[in-house]
Amino acid sequence: MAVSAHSAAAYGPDPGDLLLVATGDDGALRRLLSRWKQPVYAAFERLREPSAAAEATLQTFERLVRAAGRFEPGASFPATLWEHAARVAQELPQVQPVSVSPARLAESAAARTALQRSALAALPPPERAAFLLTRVARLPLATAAAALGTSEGDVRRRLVRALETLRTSLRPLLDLGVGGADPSPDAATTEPPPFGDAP
Amino acid sequence: MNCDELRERIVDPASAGQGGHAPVVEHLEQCAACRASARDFAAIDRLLKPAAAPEPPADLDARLLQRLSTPPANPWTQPAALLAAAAAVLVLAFFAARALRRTPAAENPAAAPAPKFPAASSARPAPSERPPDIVAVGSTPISLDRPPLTNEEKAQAAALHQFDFLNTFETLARLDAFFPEPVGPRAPVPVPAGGFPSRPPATSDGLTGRFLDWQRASAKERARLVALEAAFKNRPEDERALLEDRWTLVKDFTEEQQVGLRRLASRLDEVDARSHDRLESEIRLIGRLPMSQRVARWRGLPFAKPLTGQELESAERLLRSR
Repeated sequence: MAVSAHSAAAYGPDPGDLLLVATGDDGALRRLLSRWKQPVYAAFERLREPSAAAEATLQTFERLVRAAGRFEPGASFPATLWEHAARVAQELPQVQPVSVSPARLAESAAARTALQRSALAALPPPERAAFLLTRVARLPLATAAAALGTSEGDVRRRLVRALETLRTSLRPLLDLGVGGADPSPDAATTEPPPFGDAP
Repeated sequence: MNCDELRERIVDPASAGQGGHAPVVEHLEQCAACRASARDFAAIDRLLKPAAAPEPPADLDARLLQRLSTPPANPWTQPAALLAAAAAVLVLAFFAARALRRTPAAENPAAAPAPKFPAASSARPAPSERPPDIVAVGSTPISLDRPPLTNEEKAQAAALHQFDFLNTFETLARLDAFFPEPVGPRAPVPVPAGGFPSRPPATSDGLTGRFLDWQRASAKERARLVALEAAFKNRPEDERALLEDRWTLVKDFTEEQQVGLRRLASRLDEVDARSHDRLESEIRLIGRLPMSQRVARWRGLPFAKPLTGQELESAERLLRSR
């Protein structure tokens, strides 16, 4: 399919630029990167240390570019991009959560970051990908489901399992009140509804 | 509504209100377990939300272009894959010659040829392997095989400043430009009530954590921290207070931002003496600007142009923290 800059623009900036990327348009690739590399990197940075997060980001965009020729005009660009990101996230090795003493967690931001990352990286791959897309990248459930090639109900179930696992692995941080958890028994009835922030 | 249904509702803000909030509220009022889950889910959400959006490395675009300019590794040309493929072909040929017509790489986007992009001239060579993760040495589980600390070892451990501070104070001394006053003789910094957070642990919990850390530290690591403590104590008193005061600004920086500070200090060290003085004055001036102008002015400095995203983020957080 021959794609000109004019016709590609009719699909919107992201799908249009991806169609141009398939033709080898360097400028279109740079525009996509300028718009999307930060959220993709930020999502991986919650999972891995910076150099590994950068590598995962590179792999995501490399796959996006190499598969650009199969992108259908009118398809969802975010779902396409995050589908690649989710695959990369699922291929990352599953690790064991690190063990850190409460005293060390209290005094060291680096220790808190290490525990958070290892807890996410310890999730089973399908749950990790669902959590990454919805709770870290803040994608709407429908987009996340499309990116993962599954139903919204399945994404919800994966999320519940992921959050229940994280309740255990992040318990030392939750007990410290780092996430703003109020250990008082009345807190649930007084705080705003959970997940009030729109994705 | 049962507990499973409630939890599937509350994990998605868009669907939490579908069908009205009343059933959700009603269930939460009656179910302590779901109240606890809801509270923890919300806390996890806040916990994992970064305080500042992390920026990817500045050379990411160039690295991608460099990678795309080279053809993907063909898995069928790797020695191990060739052996495996040869064995598979022999077995498959035995059963059915048509199996040889399969093209297993067709569905792998990473193996597909990329559209041709010119490699960026400034791109670094693409790494042939994924870089190793940073190992969180300080977070390794406590070994029960280690002998208990002697009283002498406990006394040594208890006297040390916070380890993160000891690992950082020399960097802070090299980042004078980012603070209002240079390290050196000046009016004493007022010590906050309860002392600086960099001071040795004073509570029983803090001491317990310190002893556990000390127990699992190698002899080399202990010697290094003791030497850092001695180096810190050898500084004049007003300098020490100034550095401890600076640490209060950076102690909550993330691990990456702490690394960024060290790299930033190294970058500053590379600047020649004459340019260094001018740069220091410029950065100090930026620190006196209104908060909203600081980042833009900082990024406008020629010194900031080649810095990595990590270095920029650390510098900007430092400039915003004053």
